[in-house]
Amino acid sequence: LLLVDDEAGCVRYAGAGDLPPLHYRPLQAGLNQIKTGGLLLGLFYEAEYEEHVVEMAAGEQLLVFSDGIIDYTENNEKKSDYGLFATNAGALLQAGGGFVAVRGYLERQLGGGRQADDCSIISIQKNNRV
Amino acid sequence: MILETTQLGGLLQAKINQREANLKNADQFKQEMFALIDGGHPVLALNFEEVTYVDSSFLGALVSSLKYALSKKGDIYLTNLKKDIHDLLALIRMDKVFKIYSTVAEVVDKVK
Repeated sequence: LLLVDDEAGCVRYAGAGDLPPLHYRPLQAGLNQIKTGGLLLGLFYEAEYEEHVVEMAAGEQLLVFSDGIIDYTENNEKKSDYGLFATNAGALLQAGGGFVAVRGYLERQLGGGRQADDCSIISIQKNNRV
Repeated sequence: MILETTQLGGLLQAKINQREANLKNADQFKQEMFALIDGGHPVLALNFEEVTYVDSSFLGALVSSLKYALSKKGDIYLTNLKKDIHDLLALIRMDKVFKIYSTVAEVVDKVK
């Protein structure tokens, strides 16, 4: 569950068994995983879901995506690699390519029959306006 | 059948004989798991030795099987996970839901 709080300038996130979103900060190398302790929804009658506040400064981005984004096919074998996606997306954002570059990377990585699963990705970026 | 079963002492091992555990075999997997649980094996070790890829549909079937086993006072132990799959389960916190062991022998020792 994710709430974009535009008044506070942050994103409020409670994970529930989904892949950790990735937070890009221009002044910091690589992407930060947003880890929370929430388990899969509906698994237990009593479960607690902590809220994590992601403070967003101008130019920062948050990538939220389904597991299909980290899956790919290589030599007719399907694979999952969260770290590979995080590394490559981080490098592209650091190079100033923005989300367009990440999308282009995904199209190359998953095109030509290499897509292994359905894919969804959302990019939330805070702009420079006050 | 996508599960090959072996009785190991008091524990049933169910080995997934598919390289890809995905949408195509998730329903069948769930049916076979439910049948094993109903057949007197609410506690079992699920061997992923052959599995190289798991998608979200199959993970859903796996969680449904666990919920069913728990409702029958049982449990499902996962064993022989490839590193990629273990890493994925840890990322989505399923390592906090399932008991994960390196080998079936470790589970046998555990449930003695």
